[in-house]
Amino acid sequence: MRVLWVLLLDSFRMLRARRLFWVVLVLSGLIGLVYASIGFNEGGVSALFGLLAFESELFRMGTAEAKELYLLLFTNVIIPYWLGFCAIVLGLISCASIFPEFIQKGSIDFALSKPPARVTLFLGKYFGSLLFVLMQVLPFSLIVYLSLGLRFGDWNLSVFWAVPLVVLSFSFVYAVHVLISVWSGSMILGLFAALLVWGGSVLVEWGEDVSYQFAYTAPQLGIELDWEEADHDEVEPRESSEDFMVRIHWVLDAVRLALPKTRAVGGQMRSLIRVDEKGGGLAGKSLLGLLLRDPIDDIPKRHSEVERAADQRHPVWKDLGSSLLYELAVAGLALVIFVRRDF
Amino acid sequence: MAVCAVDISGVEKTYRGRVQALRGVSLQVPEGSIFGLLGPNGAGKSTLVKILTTIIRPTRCRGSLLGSPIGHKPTLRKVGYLPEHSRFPAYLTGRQVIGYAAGLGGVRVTSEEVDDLLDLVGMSGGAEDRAIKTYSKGMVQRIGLAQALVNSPRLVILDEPTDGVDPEGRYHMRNILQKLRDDGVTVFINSHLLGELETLCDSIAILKEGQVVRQGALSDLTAGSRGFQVAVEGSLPEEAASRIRGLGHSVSEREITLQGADPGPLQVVLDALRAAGVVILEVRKSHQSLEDLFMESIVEKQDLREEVQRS
Repeated sequence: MRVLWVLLLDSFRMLRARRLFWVVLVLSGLIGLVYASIGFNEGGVSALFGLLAFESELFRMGTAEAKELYLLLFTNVIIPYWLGFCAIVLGLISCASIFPEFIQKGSIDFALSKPPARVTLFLGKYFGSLLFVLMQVLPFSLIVYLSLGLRFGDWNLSVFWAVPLVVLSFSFVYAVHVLISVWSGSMILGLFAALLVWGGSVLVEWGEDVSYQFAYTAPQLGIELDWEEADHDEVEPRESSEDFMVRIHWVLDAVRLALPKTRAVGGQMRSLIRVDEKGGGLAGKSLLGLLLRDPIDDIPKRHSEVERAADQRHPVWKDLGSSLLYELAVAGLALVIFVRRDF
Repeated sequence: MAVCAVDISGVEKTYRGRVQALRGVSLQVPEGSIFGLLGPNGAGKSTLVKILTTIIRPTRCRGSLLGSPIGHKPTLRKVGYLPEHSRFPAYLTGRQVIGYAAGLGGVRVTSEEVDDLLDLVGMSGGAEDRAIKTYSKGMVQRIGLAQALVNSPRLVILDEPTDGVDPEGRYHMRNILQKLRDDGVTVFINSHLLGELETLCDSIAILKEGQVVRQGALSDLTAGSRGFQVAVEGSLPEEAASRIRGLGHSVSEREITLQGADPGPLQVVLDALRAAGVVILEVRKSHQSLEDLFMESIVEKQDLREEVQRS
């Protein structure tokens, strides 16, 4: 245990020595500050601590929509785009040299000649690398937690789900980098492979998402697409579209299952975050839908149900479990190579 | 029989691609001594050191390191190691490297103990709190030695320890190693610097093409070549020269060489020189240098191989 602590401390020192780490941390802080500056008053929304004001009937102090907007900004913008994409890319760049440098001649000799087992050294370095993202997402979640508490009186600990979800998302991508860089010793090759697998899996996730909408969401909402006329007709709602689209979705869903699911982090967060005391979540809610909503009209119940079902079609445990299995396989292979190799 | 810190036999290592780095190496390193491992490039020295420190797995290996089987990780708590071309994390300071090594080695050190180590290796002038990336090669080696000693080891393995170290630093390092031996620590050095090893080592082994070609106490290995050399003024008279040749000694124009450590024959030669009125300038003991022994061992092996190839 002490050895793991020593390795984590070393990783922290390494991060502290990197300029990129501080740049990302400052950027995270600025984004967090902008987020925290959003407030609600009697007339509507204010931003930059009251410097900008927008009138709104829907998003006013005390309305449920105001709190939803605040949370959806976190789950649908900040998590997928800043923490789930930018921070992962910057994390990859920042941590790319950890394993290639570790296994370099002269450096690996130093570590392997010490009593800790190779497995311990590998795991210490691996988990130490995850500190980069952990130290970005943890302060951010804290800012969101404090903002929610101070603005709405809702001390909502469920926002901290972002910490393991974003760190896991990074680790799914990072595992590929570790495997390739331990195998080849090349940082560039490892980075390239990680980006390739990440890009590929995001593409599959996106494809599965789109095909689901064509195969299930649209028919369930009573929308029939006319491909030749590029138009749509309103018809009687049904469970799914014709077999062809359902089959495409089935194939993409199967492929998706085997791959790391990083794009799903926003949806997972919407499922896990608690909005009210009854434990209601944000599943099925979109930021755009909320912003474009007419305050007088109520959303048809069926629409909400279909969108919630779409958002929750992949249970969090299943997405996380299968992604973790994937990571276990990839990082496990890297570990086997590391343990068996003559350096 | 002396207790051995390292006692191995039949060590073999074949890398992927069928490269045979070690072909049945047997080695004994007496505890509390300074041992030198010599050999030309590609002889398998680094492979052997890496096997001892678990960096490389042997294809076959029998024996022990400090009484435990080779590859037994917990035993490495009692071993200090300075790798060749050591690369410590560049973002750490010299002081942090020592702390990091202690942490990995499972020992707790106080800042006073770290100060003592820094002082011992001559790195206590303020540089110890600068990042390693600002160090010269010699400074890195000094910190490398300090981290190798942080766990108060019973065996210290040093791979080219004076690489990049200035003459003063080398002198300093030699003193440290001698003091370690005096304290009962076994020092295992892998080096190319024969002159340096000659002044330090109690015993050596010469490795050539993955095999040990010479091994033993340095004094024993060079004993057969001991003798005396007598220098004279001017040319040696022919009569005296032929008389000395008749005694079985080799004679050049101004020098006589006697083989063997027995001083008896030397007295006869000196008497003969005085009788001939020759002025004796110098009488000195001679023995084979480590460099001569090394070259002899390498060439012997080469000749043997060529002979096998011819037959």
